[in-house]
Amino acid sequence: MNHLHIPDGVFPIWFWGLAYVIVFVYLAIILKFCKTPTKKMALAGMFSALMLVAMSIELPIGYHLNFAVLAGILLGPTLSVLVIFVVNTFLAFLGHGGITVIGLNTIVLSLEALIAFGLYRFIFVKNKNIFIKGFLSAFISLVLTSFISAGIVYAGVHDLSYMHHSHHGHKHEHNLEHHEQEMEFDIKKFLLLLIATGSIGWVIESSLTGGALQYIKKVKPEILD
Amino acid sequence: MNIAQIDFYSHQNNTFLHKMSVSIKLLCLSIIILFAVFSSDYRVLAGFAIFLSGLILLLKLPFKQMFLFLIYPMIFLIFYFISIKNLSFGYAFLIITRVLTIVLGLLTVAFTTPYNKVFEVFGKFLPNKLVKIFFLSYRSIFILTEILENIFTAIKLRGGIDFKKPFKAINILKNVIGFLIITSIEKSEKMYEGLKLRGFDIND
Repeated sequence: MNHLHIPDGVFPIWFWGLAYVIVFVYLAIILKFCKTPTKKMALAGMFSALMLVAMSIELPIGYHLNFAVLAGILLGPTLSVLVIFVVNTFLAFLGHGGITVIGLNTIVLSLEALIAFGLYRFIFVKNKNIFIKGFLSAFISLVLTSFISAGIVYAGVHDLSYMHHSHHGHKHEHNLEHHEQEMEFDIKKFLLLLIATGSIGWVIESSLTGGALQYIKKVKPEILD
Repeated sequence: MNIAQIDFYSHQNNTFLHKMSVSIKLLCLSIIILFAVFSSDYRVLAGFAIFLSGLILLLKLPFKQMFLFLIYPMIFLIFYFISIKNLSFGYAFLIITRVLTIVLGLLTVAFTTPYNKVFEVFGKFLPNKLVKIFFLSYRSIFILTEILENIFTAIKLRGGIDFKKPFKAINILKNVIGFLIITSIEKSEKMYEGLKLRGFDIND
């Protein structure tokens, strides 16, 4: 559940608009100033496809893999963000996440990739057991980004009073406003729901990340260098 | 979620929506999204959602499959509504009808428009490099889907994945994912060689 499946129409415009600006500025910097040889771009294209295809692997608990952590570890902080943006755009056209929240989703998943990259390359660098290294990087990153996701939702909807303005001219205006004045987003409850439903998924995804890295180290270790 | 399957439907070309210009479809979709985001009347939005559902049924698009795509946004909405104290029905209906309208609009376009045509339109306002990555991803999806299908066929022939034995299931899946990553990196190198031979440069 760390990936925000927030549909369109929940957040105010300034909020998702700001996320779009941040993402486009970051992407513009990557595309303009970072070296992006064709080989790297072919890899980015293939990895985006890998993330999309991996989502079709059905897990029995209704959780789907997203591989943002693996993208961060294997592709690094620039290419992984590019890949995540592409994946989110593909998914948005299927109503999986919204068109207006592509920016927000890209920020959350990019943070997931960047945190995992930082943990894997710098914090657990001395750990020789690659499974544990991968597992911990993925797990910590997934937990942290779930909290960040909840924070983002809270930042976007804690002030539900903006909804009042959109009800002007409505026949039930007074009734609705009366109720909405009392509406309040409870972030603790939301977090609790995220943890309750996401925790099994975090363990599965982290195990698969660690296991996949272990497999790569056995079969083709040069990929991890 | 199988993008290759959606792509199959989008290439059917048997309805008037398939034949309609992609730019016009995307323009209509943008209008629907903007209208839904700014609209405050859930009855109008509900009318729109019913109209789009009727259109999907009329065009004989795979309604059941499309309906499955509503699950993820609805899961979020359930969490979201549970977390709101003193939730008003008016607000809940408004958000639900907004989501339904937008997702049905998106799915109608996704099931009647091939992704590559959408990216052609993207090319008019997004950086060239980014659009090329979209195309490379689109092409790679089919390569990897085929590989994944072959892997799962092989696994099924050896008894399949039994999720009642989670450790064994994870052990199989981690190998599948590891193999898929190695294969995709190798395929990307081959793709690069092919592109280079044809004089393709991402920076052009």
